Amino acid sequence: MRQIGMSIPRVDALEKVLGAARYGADVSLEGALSLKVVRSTRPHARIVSMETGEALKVPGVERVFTAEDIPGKNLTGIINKDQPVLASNRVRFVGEAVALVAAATPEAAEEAAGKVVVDYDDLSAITRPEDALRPDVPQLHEKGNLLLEMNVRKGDVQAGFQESDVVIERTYTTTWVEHAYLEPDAGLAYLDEEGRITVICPTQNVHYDQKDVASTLGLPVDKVRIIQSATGGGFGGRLDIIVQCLLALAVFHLKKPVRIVYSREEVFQATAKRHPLKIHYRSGARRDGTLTAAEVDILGDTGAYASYGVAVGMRVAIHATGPYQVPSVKVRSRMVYTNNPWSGAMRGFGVPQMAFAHESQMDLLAQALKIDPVEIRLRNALHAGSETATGQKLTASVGIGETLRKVKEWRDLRTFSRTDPRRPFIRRGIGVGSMWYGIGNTGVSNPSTAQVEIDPHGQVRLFTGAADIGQGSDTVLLQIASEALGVPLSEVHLIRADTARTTDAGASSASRQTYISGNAILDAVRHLGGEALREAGWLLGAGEKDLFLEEGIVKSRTSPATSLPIREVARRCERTLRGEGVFDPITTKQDPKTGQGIPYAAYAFATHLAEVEVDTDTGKVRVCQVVASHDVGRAIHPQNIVGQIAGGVTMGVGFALMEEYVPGETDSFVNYLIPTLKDAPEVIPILVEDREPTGPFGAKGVGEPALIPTAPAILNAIADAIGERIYDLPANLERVREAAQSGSRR
Amino acid sequence: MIPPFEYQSPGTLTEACRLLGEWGPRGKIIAGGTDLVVSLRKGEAQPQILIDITRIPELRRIEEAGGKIRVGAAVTHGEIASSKLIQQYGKVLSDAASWVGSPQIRNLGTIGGNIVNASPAADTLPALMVLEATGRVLSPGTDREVPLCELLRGPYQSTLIPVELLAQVSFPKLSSDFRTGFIRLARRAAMAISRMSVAVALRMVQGEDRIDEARISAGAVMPTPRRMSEAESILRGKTPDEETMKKAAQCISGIMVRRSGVRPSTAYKAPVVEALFLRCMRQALGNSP
Amino acid sequence: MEIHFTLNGEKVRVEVPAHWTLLRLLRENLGLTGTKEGCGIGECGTCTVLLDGVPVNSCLVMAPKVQGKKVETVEGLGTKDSLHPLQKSFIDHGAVQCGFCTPGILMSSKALLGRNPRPTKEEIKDAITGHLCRCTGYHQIVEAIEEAGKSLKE
Repeated sequence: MRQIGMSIPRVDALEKVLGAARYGADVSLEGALSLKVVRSTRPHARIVSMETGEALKVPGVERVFTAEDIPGKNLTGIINKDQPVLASNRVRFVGEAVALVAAATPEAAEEAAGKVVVDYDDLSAITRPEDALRPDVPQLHEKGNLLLEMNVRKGDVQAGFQESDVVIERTYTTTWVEHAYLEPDAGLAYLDEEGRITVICPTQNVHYDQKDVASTLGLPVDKVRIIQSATGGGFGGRLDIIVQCLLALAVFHLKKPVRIVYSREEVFQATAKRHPLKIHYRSGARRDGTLTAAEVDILGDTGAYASYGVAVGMRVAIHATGPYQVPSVKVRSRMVYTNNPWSGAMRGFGVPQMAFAHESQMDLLAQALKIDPVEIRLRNALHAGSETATGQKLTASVGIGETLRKVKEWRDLRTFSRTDPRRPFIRRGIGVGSMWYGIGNTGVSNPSTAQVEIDPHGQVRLFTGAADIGQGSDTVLLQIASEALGVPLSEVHLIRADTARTTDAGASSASRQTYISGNAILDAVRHLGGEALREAGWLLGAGEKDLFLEEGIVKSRTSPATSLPIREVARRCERTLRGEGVFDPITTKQDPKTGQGIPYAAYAFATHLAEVEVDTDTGKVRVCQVVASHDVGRAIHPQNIVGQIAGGVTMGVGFALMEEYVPGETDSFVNYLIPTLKDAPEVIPILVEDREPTGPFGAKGVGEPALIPTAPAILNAIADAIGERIYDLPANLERVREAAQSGSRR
Repeated sequence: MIPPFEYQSPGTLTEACRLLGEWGPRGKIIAGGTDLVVSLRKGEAQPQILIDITRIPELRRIEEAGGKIRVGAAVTHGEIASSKLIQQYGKVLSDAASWVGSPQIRNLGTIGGNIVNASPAADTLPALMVLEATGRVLSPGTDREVPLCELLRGPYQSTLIPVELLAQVSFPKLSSDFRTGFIRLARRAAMAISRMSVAVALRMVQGEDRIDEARISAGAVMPTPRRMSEAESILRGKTPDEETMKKAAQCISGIMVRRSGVRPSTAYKAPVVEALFLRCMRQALGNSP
Repeated sequence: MEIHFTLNGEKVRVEVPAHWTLLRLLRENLGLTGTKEGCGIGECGTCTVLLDGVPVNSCLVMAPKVQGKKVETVEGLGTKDSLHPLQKSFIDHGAVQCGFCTPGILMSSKALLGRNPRPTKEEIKDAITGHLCRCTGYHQIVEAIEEAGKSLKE
């Protein structure tokens, strides 16, 4: 293999270190107008009237748009189309967009936005998810306040609990978390020479954006072009429509270039958050540690609009058991609307929260049964041949056991002291957390398409709609193409995430691009290869059966001297060879009553071990080290994977210890803390390559798995250190101190 | 967005005072801008002019004169943290300054700005308190030296009026028989506002294990940092044993509750300020990291 | 207001409103978009430039402040054909993911290596605490800076 397993320099790194990469706020056009959004100050209200007269008088203001200016459908959404671009008669959360100002300068736009007067008639606001399902509360959407209820049923939990020698029942809660990608949302839009509305912005899915923009404007999709700019992080937060429809609406009417740049405060107020979840978990196990039953009830606050609420609701139900064999399962997952900021996709789609719960449960069972925490996990770990909670038989690439063994190896070699004689207030602990994560969208078709071309000059082009948001898909997909074509990577030209030139590759989410787009590219190369063989047959006067492709070179079974590189074929036949590829993971829908089915074609597995130091006087936790063992199937770019893991672990430290978004209060990096360099632990990555037969060169995905086991491991380590458990995230100073003090009182 | 204004960078104190006299409340002094620019961006102030004092040589100096260390108001936190003079004669201040914000903030933000911004959580204030610092306040007609506490009215409120300029902060050189300690607690390991901080300066009775003089101040526990004189009295003349220090610690949390009232955060802050005080004492006494 | 200063080694003269920040001056007046705005309040480090050789948050520096001073941005660090050892090292070590925090960190690193050519890992961490990164977990960044220090010395 020339590319697979090689940690080559990332193809986009040069531009970025030169400061030459153009992000959403870096692109502009002469004379571009500035846009500013007017936002609701009420959590739930009817819009009685809106006065734009004063705003329009501000010098430089061209227009103030409202919902009435939307020519097409004023409803967007990645799964459920329930979110207006501009609120028409009702607002459902503080920060909702109600009007859009276009002006010559950002100052004029801001001044005018401050002068738009909205008369609100307050409606009763739902702030707690528990209240959303009461009969006496307002219905926030047409179908009521219950966005989703999903059940997973298998076996007989009652019998299971009866068979148990121990039953552990606890409630876990998590709160809103912010993606905190470093680039605030921004973009530019204009009419191109062909009269197409063109939007350049950071995004995780240009093809979805194109559809919702076209729908908002009542235009055919080919009249809209979305180009992904360099994107400063996503983590699921840029899967929703954010600036795209606003920009397009302004261009549609004004026929002039427009740009918008969100302030960081706006990003905090008006983009998606991680779902707060309340998880009630009951686990049963036999004396030998084997799990018998799991009964889980999940209530999620999906906020004012659905966004990815359905996906999160389904994922948490399906992943609730953790990477273990549990014969009897009863899970109910409900996502409800409230007048809180909307929750959407965030790295892990609910599984980071769920893993906190199932991994805490495993440690509690281990403690009750006096079994080593790694051992109890090994005893129950899924393996090839296991059946999951949704009745899916796993056949291959189930590396959870190996990740546990690797972590155990590391742990057993370590000497470790629980106390520090120089600092009597310190307690140290070790904790383990495991996870599984289905690659791709849950139980639905989510194909990627891709194309590969070789022109008569021998130029090779790879077309993919996949957005690189920093996770490195550009490089990895090029590596896959280069390997399959037998062409050096530097000679493959990448065209990506531009709806005028690429076709749909689905979102850069659910850790799916390596697996799904990777496979689509292999499919494209296969088709290209087929065409190349046919052409070569003509050129060489050889029969179809005689020729074959090996590492991008046409060879003959009968005449060993034949060696024609694929680019040579294109040159000689003087036309462009093209291969179109598609890949859709094989999944089935979940049964509506029991959730049984095949939600994913491949799963990633991982185990983290965290070593922490708890200051029992102040509640400060220092995560000293995290050992992170990941079954990635195949490491196409090992350095990339290590980078994802280090980043995921650091994000996990934030999720575990310091990140909490408080609606109405959190508005900056002063009151929302993400880990700095000094908060990042030492990370020891251990890659396990349990080849996924359906994956490109055996690869699966790692983007979200990198994060998921970290907080569970840290929380388990804290419990190990202080002898008391925390059930609510984040384990901040106050919570840890209180737990440490009550732990020491015993 | 930041509203429009004029900008002047006077090169002398006289010129600065003149501008202040001329513009009065329509103008604002800017040094590093690390607090002011944030405030302007939020629309909290609409000055017509900013008077930049960082080009006035006297305000940028750290010097030793008449037994005192005099620090110009426009000296940055970074300069204070690395100043050999301050490390020698006022280490508690250089320690505190090294925690402010981030390296970038410390390269811009100034001690004068920190004082005048008067944040209850400002790191340098408790240190300045135990150094018994004074501030030199200039205006077109006056030139006075006042104790630091008289410069602080309340949270984010200094006592300076618009025509006044804090030009310098001074403190008597701390003699080598003083031991100091500075401790702060934040929600993450760097670039975070103090949740609480404690500064102490102790001098032992010569040749004995008894405290001759104790100076204690804490940050982010009261509307403005003050000296904890009741706790200092408890320590004076005593051996710093566990029982005495605990008494002083409890006195400190008591002062905190009296001055700030009982709040949701009190259940956490009261015992933790006691723990931090004890650690700070041990740091000063050289017993513990 | 007219401001003269030295930018990446060259004397420049610009006309900007006095209430513009240095960040805005660089990006909108001079078209140098390598320096980023991540938060606008000096809490993320993406706007970091060198002012008279020391790292500052350009979102907090009012433009008139740079009169007569030296400003250095990522655009002056190196070129495609002549990368600064830091730039090369960042590429080699996988220290660049989304890249938004990269220019600011490069500038702080440049200042660090200028005053301390062989920093330890701890010294590197101390110098870069004013930079948030959400993608990398910082490890490869620290390695890259350490490596660049070694190659600069040679």
